[in-house]
Amino acid sequence: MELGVFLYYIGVAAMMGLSALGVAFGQGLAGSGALAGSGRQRLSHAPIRKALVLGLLLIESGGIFALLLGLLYALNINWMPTYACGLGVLGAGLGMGIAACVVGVASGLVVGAATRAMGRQPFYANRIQNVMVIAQGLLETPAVLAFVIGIVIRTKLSPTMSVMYGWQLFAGGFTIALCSLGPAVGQAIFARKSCMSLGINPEMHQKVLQFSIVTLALIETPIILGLLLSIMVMIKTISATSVPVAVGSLLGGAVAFGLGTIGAAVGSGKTASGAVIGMVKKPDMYSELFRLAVGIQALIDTAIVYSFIIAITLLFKAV
Amino acid sequence: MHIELADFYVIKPLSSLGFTHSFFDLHVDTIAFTWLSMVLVFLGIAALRRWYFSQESLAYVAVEYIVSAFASLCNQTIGYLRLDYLYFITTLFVFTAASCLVSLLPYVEEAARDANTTFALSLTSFFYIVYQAVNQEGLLSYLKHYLGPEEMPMFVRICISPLETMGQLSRIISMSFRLFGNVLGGGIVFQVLVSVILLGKEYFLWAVGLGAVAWIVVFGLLGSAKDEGAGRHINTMIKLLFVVTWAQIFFGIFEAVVQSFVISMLSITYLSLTVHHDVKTDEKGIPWS
Repeated sequence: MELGVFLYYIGVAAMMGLSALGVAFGQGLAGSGALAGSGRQRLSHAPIRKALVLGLLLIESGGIFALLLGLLYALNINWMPTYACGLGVLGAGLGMGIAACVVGVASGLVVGAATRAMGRQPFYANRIQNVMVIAQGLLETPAVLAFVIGIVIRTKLSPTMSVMYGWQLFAGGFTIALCSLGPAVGQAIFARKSCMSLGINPEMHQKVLQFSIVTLALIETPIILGLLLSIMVMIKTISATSVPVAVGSLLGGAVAFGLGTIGAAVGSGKTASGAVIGMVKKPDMYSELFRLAVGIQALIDTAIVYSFIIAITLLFKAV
Repeated sequence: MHIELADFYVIKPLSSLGFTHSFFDLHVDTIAFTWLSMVLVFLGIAALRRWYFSQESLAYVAVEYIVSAFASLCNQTIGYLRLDYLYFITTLFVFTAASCLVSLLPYVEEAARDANTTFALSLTSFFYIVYQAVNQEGLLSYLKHYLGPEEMPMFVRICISPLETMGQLSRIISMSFRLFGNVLGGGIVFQVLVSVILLGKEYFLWAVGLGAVAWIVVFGLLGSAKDEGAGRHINTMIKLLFVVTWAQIFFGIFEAVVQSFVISMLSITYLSLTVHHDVKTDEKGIPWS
């Protein structure tokens, strides 16, 4: 019983602490980029200030999700949490905290790169800001999905749940935590480069925007499949005779999919950054580079499919 | 607070015949919201037709902007412009956006919040691509896409063909769940925020309307009183309500438009990977027939 309360509080604390860490660090990165950009070019001060305020607000949204979820967990319970309940909350805390942390840092990198590019091209600041805002909106997906998982775990908590079900909820949160790492890193690598490329050739703004939307959507495939896996882990009925065996297969699926997708997402981001730099240097090669980059990313994505197959197989092993 | 992942009103029309599996369920509210969004799209089109009379009218500018944006998108991604591709991606975009934005009405939820809707959209997109590819180059050369990249030797291509097939089929799942997850996430964030601020979505939207009316009254009719005493506090409160509510609605609209753009953009990208590109065109990008 006491262990349950301990895990419950640690979970809520991890949720808020990790997300605040990432959000504040990301805002620092954004501020440093903005100041460097303003220092480069006097004219760019006013547009950079506008873009910085908008960017900081959007970075903050990860922290706001964690705050709302933390309030729901901290205030809204009127019974003593059991061990199983504490495990579920620890999973939700890890999921929301890690996702908001990486999303905050990634978003901050994007704002920093965009404001630096505005320092180079002050007359195209509005166009660079459009790319920045849309990239941040797509980057936010892991935090939103971790919030959804947190809400689902909150509605499933009850005083009478079994220890196995607590481990299932923990595995659901842990899955979304590990799956958010790869997409956030890969999207940050790519979105930074696409903002920087607008500093090189801002005339390509519309094409870079289209390519960025497609690429960011492709890089975030793991987190979408991670949501699916996490929900499947949580709604499966397991009548475990041996809890460690079932828990091993659930957490093994999370580790297989989470770690297996980091490389794919980072590689995808690297490929697309090369393509976007090539596009702004040779604008007439846009169609060819676009198709080549998407084709290579489709090949890289097979790693995600393998990891997903192994994770699903491990999930069906838990009976 | 009552939030469920799937709380649809389900009827089982074929249960008397022995089909009780959940595959044969009908989600009545999803169907109703889908038809509502279709009706809204048709009303919008009728309104645009009605006001499409001169080059200065708003409808003309809007139609011109949307159509030319999608035409240039199609032209840049595929390399040439074919009108049936343009019709397909524009329809996909408009329907997806409408089925997300319909939740701004009171007592209505997003039709795309049901995974069945998004799965249907991605299946439509997949089979459209298959249809176009088979139509252009025949079934056999379409099936060669499932053998992997053309540059590799045949032995390697046969070895990796199961993986390639799996990759092609996983696109359907990832496309449908991308839309589903984002819409569901946005909807739940909206619900939670609203339940923190006010009682529920319907009351919230009424409050937005009342706030708008109060805004007009205070700034339109009582504009002179706004800087004195209590008037200033009322002014601040209304501003706060206005900003918070419209910020939420704006982010809902932003999310819906971006996600529907993503699904139509991904469809046209996959289409461009499948159909052939060596088509001679005129200077507007329209192929010679």
